[in-house]
Amino acid sequence: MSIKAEEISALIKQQLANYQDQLKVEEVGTVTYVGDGIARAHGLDNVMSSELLEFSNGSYGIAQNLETNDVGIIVLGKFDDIREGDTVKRTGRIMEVPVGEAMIGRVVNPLGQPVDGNGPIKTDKTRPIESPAPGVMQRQSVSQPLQTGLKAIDALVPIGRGQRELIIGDRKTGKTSIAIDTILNQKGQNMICIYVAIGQKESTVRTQVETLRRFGALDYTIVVEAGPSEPAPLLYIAPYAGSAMGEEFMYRGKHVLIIFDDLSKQAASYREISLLLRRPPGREAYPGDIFYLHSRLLERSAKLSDELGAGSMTALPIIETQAGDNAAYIPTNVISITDGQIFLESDLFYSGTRPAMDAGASVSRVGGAAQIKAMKKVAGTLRVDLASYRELESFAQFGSDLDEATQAKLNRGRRTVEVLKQPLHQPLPAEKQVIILYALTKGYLDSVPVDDILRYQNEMFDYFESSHADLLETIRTTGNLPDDEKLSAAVKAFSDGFVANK
Amino acid sequence: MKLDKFTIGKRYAKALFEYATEQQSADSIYSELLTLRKVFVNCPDLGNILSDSRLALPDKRKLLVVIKPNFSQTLQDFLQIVFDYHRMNDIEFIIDEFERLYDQANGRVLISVTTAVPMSDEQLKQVSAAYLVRFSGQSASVTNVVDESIKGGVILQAQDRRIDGSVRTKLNRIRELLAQPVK
Repeated sequence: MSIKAEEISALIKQQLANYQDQLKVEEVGTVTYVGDGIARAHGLDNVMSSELLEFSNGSYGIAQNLETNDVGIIVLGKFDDIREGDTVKRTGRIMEVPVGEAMIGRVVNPLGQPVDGNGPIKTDKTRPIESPAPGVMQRQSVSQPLQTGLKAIDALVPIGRGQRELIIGDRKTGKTSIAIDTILNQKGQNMICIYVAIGQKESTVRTQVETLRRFGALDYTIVVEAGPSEPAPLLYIAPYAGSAMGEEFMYRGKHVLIIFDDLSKQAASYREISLLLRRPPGREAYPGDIFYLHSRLLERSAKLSDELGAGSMTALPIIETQAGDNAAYIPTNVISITDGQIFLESDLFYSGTRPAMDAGASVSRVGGAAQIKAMKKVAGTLRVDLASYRELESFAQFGSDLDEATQAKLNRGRRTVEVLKQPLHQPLPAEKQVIILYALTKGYLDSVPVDDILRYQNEMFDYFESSHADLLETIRTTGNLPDDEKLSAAVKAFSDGFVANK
Repeated sequence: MKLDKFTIGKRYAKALFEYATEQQSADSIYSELLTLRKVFVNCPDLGNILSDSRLALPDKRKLLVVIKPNFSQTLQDFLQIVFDYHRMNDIEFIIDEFERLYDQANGRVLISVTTAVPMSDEQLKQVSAAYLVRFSGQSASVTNVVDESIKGGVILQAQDRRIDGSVRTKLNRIRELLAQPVK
């Protein structure tokens, strides 16, 4: 490739044409302290709270504490070449991130700069990272389902578009997997996904991004990443930046799914900032406004009214608990903010029940309204079945003689648990979930050995796809259960033909 | 918690300024403080020596006795108070703050003008006149700082307000412009 000298000079000329020689009156202050991602500056008398400030080395900061003599600033980016005595300048703006279609498919840092090495992002739209949540009249109640593709969740704790559903559990219980599987299942659902990784190991994030790419999910996903090596202020703003990117789509009438993985790390980094800014520590050393930190973030997820385009933003915040302690400060806070929670248990996880959801403790406060009718019908008794199974299970361990009804309940429970198991990265469409749950609740699985249930399920899907595609189609398009006779005849025909392993 | 130096400066300066205004001696106190500042600028460690534990108290008193007699009774009393409360190391902040209060009361603006080559008195006068036309203030006191690294032009700073017309800043802006991707 050869570039002519004239072309280069023409380009330079073109860029220089934008140069305007004008003097601006700036308001400046003097840095009196720098360290740990925090700076204090003297002067800046007229600065506003959370205004963006520019340091003389080009780094930006956000004014946090406005005190009598100085301003506490969180530094976004490099702070090791800021010195005492440097000037810091007001910009008159608040922090903004680039938003828009061009962000989709990219991995960006909380400032909206690409970190995936695929060149600059060509978008000229920005949104402030902090913006007020939609008010009462701007919302409507959640009515459309968001299919996670996981039988256990779609049947027992259905999630609606615009809902906030917390995923909570110890480390290594499959929290992120649920989130990633949910993203994978949004393919072709006209949904834009935003995965905000806060303080996750860079290698883990890389793996997740590769997973998304492999399943073609990156075409509708934005990954916002703030690694553990970034200074705490970037981790703190990451979820707000992700929300700003999501709001852009929501206010244009689109549907957005945003995942905050995880908010306990964001809380920890906010605690770090607050302690360094010398705000008084409260319970567990978190500052007084830690509840507001999460409530103002999650309140931005909404289902907008029809006048505003009926867009939605569904939030799946993730919280990591320590040794199953749900009564710690941050978990209780976020549980009370969200519209329900999915509890994951390490005992279930290690016993092979994956997703390791504790069906008794997990709830969805609004999702039922958003469940498709067919699913409502087949899943109605599941929760009760599971609860009575767990209750009886402990009795059954005494090995005493059980009457027939109890035997039947235990039998059904064991199969329910088995059906709700689902391997990693294999989300199922709603219609398939409905037929396997139909077979379960109508008792067709009672005679199938527990070990054969997975094979039964897979062969059943194949059978329906080849011989009864119309039934699947009915569920998919209408959301209703097809004619009961036809469906039960089809399931019966398959069950009769199914040969159990010897 | 230990008070920071700016808070201390503000408190002591406010007290002194209000007292001086009541006594109608603000002008003379101000000129005396300027002399006092010169003393502290000439021996930079003086304030620290007078407040930390390097010297025993009698030795510090001896030092103070050397400094005190040059000033009026009001300022002597003030210095004694500052000394008694071990705040001698903050004296420069007190003087700065006093100056700010004094300027505010008299509508005087402190302007620092940074240039690559020294400016003539005539030019400085023009700068201050131009500043006073644009912003509020009755008189201006201009100091000229020479900094060759700005290459040319003028940086004018008055308190927190800065007008940057230096060649260095302009060059930086052009550099940023050229570094942007071509649209």
